[in-house]
Amino acid sequence: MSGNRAMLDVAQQSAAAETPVAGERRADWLRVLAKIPVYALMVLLAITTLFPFYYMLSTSLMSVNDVYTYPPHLIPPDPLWENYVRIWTTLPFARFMLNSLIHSFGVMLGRLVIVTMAGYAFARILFPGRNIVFLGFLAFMMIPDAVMLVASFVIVNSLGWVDTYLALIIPGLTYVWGIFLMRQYFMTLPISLEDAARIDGANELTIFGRIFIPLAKPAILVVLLFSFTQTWKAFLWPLIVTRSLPMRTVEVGIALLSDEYFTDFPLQMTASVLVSLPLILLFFFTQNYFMEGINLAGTNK
Amino acid sequence: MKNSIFSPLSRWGWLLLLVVAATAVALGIVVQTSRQQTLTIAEEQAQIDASLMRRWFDQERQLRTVQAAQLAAQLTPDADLASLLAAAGLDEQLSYAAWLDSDGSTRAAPQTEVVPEDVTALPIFRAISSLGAATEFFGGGSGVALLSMAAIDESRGGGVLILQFPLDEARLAAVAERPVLFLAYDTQQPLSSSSPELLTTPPQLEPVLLREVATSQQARSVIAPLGGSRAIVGLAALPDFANLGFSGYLALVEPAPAAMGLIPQWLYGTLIAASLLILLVGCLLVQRQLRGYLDDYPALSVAERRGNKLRMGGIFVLFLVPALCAGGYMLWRTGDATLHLNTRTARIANHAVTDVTERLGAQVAQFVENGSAARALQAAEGESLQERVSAYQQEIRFDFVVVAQDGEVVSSAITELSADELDALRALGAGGADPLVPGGGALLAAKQRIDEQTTVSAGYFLSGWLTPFTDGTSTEATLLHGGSIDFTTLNSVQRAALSERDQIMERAEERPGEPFRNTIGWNENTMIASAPALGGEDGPRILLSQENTAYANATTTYHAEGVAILVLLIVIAIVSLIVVFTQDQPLKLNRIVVGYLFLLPAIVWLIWWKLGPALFTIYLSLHKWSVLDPTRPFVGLHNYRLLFADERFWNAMINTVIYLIQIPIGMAISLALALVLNQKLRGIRILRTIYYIPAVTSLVVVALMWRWIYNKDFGILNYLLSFLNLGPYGWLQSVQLAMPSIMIMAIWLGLGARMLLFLAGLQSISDEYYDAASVDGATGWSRFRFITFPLLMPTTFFVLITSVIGSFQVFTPVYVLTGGGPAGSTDVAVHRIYFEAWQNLRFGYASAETVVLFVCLFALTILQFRYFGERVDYVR
Repeated sequence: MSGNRAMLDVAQQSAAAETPVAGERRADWLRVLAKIPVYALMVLLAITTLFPFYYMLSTSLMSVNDVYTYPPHLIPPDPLWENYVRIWTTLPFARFMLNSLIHSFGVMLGRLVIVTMAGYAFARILFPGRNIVFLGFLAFMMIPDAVMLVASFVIVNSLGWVDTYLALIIPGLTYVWGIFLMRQYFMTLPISLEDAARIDGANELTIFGRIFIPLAKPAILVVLLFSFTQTWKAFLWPLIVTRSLPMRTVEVGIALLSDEYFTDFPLQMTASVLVSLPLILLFFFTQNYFMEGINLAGTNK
Repeated sequence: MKNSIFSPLSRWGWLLLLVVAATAVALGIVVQTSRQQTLTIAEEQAQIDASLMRRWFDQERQLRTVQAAQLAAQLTPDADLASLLAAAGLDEQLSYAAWLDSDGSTRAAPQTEVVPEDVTALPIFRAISSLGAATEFFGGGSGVALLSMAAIDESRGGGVLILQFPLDEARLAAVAERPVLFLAYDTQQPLSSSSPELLTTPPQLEPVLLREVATSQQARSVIAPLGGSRAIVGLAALPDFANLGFSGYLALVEPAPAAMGLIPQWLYGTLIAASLLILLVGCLLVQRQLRGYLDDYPALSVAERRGNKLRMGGIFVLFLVPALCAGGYMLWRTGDATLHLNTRTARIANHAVTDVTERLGAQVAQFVENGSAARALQAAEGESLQERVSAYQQEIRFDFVVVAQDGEVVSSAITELSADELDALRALGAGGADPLVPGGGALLAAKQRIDEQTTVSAGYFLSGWLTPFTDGTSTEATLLHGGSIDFTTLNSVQRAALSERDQIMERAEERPGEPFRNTIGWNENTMIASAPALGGEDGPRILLSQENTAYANATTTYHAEGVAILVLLIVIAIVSLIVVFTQDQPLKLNRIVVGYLFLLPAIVWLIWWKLGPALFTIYLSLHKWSVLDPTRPFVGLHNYRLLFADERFWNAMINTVIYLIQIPIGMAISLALALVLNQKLRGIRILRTIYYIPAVTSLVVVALMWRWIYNKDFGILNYLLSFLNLGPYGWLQSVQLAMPSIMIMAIWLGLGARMLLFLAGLQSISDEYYDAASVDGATGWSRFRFITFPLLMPTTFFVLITSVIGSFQVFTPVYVLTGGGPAGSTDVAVHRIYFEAWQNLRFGYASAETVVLFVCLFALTILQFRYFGERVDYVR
């Protein structure tokens, strides 16, 4: 809890820094006027960003006949909510969603264990070889994922994992960036914490599980969020290691079926809306953590 | 001791627990993986066995059909079937023979009296009756049999001859060394089996699997326990039963314990128990030693302390030796097993070839003796000699029939005979049956004199009846005669390699029918068997050879696991030794143990899924590798040679580099926007959220969205452009526009996220710098040039690095938007790799592409690090 509160404090401070102080709020309307072009630019940028999403949403509410007209409709002439019912029956969409959820949560939970443990070891335990091993870990970050593709598949195939959840989850379990992040976070915590616990007779596991994990909640949340979005968005690996339709994740499913239902653009857009909705909602509710992650990523390197 | 961080246990108790647990886990993994590997080997073995069995079975069927046709040709309404059968030497082999007259009555069934009703009910029975042709099929019903049918045409009284050759378990087992079951399934219901008790308790074979085996026509490994202590381990479908409404399968049967592993279960159990016991005793010993040591510790001299440590280290090493021996034993057993498999497969192949050779030889000889050709070739009205020969050839299914009448040759053949071969036939004495090996081809022929002017010869091409053994398998056949190669299915390289190895050919000639191992050629062909061929001692020899790589691969992984066990045990040893030698610094020891334990999952994972695949990629790139084909020969740098000459790959690389252009453009736009927006603005938090939305949306969705926007006829982009009197453009259909379209999408996608990164970077620059600069009179551009830009360098660098690495691996937008097209204009590196590996199944080649991609990417990363690294440091 205390971790959350610290995070909130930080957020509030930065919010306070952004709001103009009372002195400046005195009606200097000329300066406000000067900012109008800037605001216009901001809004224009927002429109550019949001327009494709709006277009996706509006297309998802059209019928096929509405879509194939020229000039194109920007507003669905007759909103067709039926598409959102049809999608669950036309495609094995529920199964796709389930697969994606299993994939994302599996990877997320696995990473939670591995990443926090490794980050903790690097930050708080002084053992010989720590720096060399850490450098080795960072070196692995330099190897891009595409390089592993073929070989990983051959390994997965020889293990007989193709078309199983194992093939989706196991190869995604470690997240070096997350280890790095956790290490940085654990390093900021005061050393007196574990000393006090140790005097009370706590062992290493207790210190880790009872003291550091609760304190590291904000960082863990960032790692979990990034893991979840990353995994949910994954495309190439699930495309390769799943074969049968009932094992496809939602991303792969809609990409493959988009060719089959090529002419049914509204249905494609309906699927797209439903696929992106979980991520966008998640983002809306946890954006502070996201921004924290971006800032950490941008400045720590 | 009070300070011990493992308070509930003593240090040594903890250590003991650790060592025992690690060993148990290691041995558990060994048992599990070696069992799996055994199954892999069993699978390949089953595939080879089953495919050889199938080929043998096909030959058998063909042969029986020929026999049935020949018999039918001799039958007349008043003939005595029993004596005819005896004359053909078939009475011993048959379990059933009947002649059904066209009126439906049955005659002359020597072994059984009743024609099974289900046979006459089969549609094929009626079809044969009307066609007058010989055919073969596998009959289900009351027993397992290989049935042959031949119709006798109307002129000879009509009717159908049915010969039933028993195909019991013993007979099948005689071919393979392992017992083979014969199963017939009517989709899910067992119809018949060579093991009758299986009909009452059918083996647990999944209908899905049966269907898959039947449709793919490939052998599969299965584990289906039968009654008692047996299990089905391999399953192969027999072809051509679909029209009968059921499927036939050959199932390889093993004793159940053997089916589960090459090394018996009890041995595993004993090994594990023994290793654990040894380790336990060792740990207890060390613990006792240590306790005494620590009690005396203050009183001991330095030399005594060192001696004590060494003694304890010695004990560790001592009790690790048995464990290492166990690992070594498994390795040794693996090699042994492989050798055994090789020779066994050789024997099966040998047996199958010999069997067929002998039968065909006997058949040719029979052709000479029984004079059936004369009757068959008797002229019917209005029929030319050519037509009669063709009809005869079809009926008896020899590869060719040649009739010579006063020097005039009329031949009917699947492949026309060459002049050389005709000469050889002429030289063959009438009434003789001989293997003829003229020129490059080879044939088994016999000649029969019909009257003073006319002779008829018939026979088989070697290539014709040897190909079933070589088609679709890694087995190759070579015909040796007099020290030279007469016919071979080897490719030119292998053939050349074989010619150079005289001793192989000599051995095959000298000791026929004996399997042996020898390697030829660049891809490790192992010669495994030579069979006696045609015409006894002096006749040509057939040499069967097999690509060894399938086995090599199976055992390589098996060996790798054996090595892994050894490595693991050595790691345990090292850990134990570290423990012993740091035991007077308990805190340090605890830190080592705890630190590495916390890192263990991450380290294991990184080695398995990062380091391992990275090295494995290089290994793969040196091999020809397909998931479907078990032979994976080492080809050296061949893939790379192909790669450097492959225009499509370089096109993809160039496209990838072109795609990188979007990075500086996108970054410049984002930076400009960030500079403008770097002010105290209301509502920036909401907008910040909005700008970041594309970054949390999946690429597939974004690409689908833009595919719709880019749509040529109904897309919004062309509609907007039409207001400017532009277009319509086929964004994704045009070679010029497709790549820029993807780039525009990428810029849009990265815009918000990059801008936010720049904003974060800008806001971390302290106002003091600007204040100081404005004192110096810097404004506008110079402020940006000398303060903002250098101080923003870490962010810029980060954005650039991640963008380049990401863009080099771009795949999803290309896959969804264009699929690499049109005309390869958007084909990027990863897409190329994907295509080669998962469409063309060229994993080795795709790995070579990956290696080249990695080298490019790595060089780029290093370059960027070097170039920017200095500046970044300078700024800090």
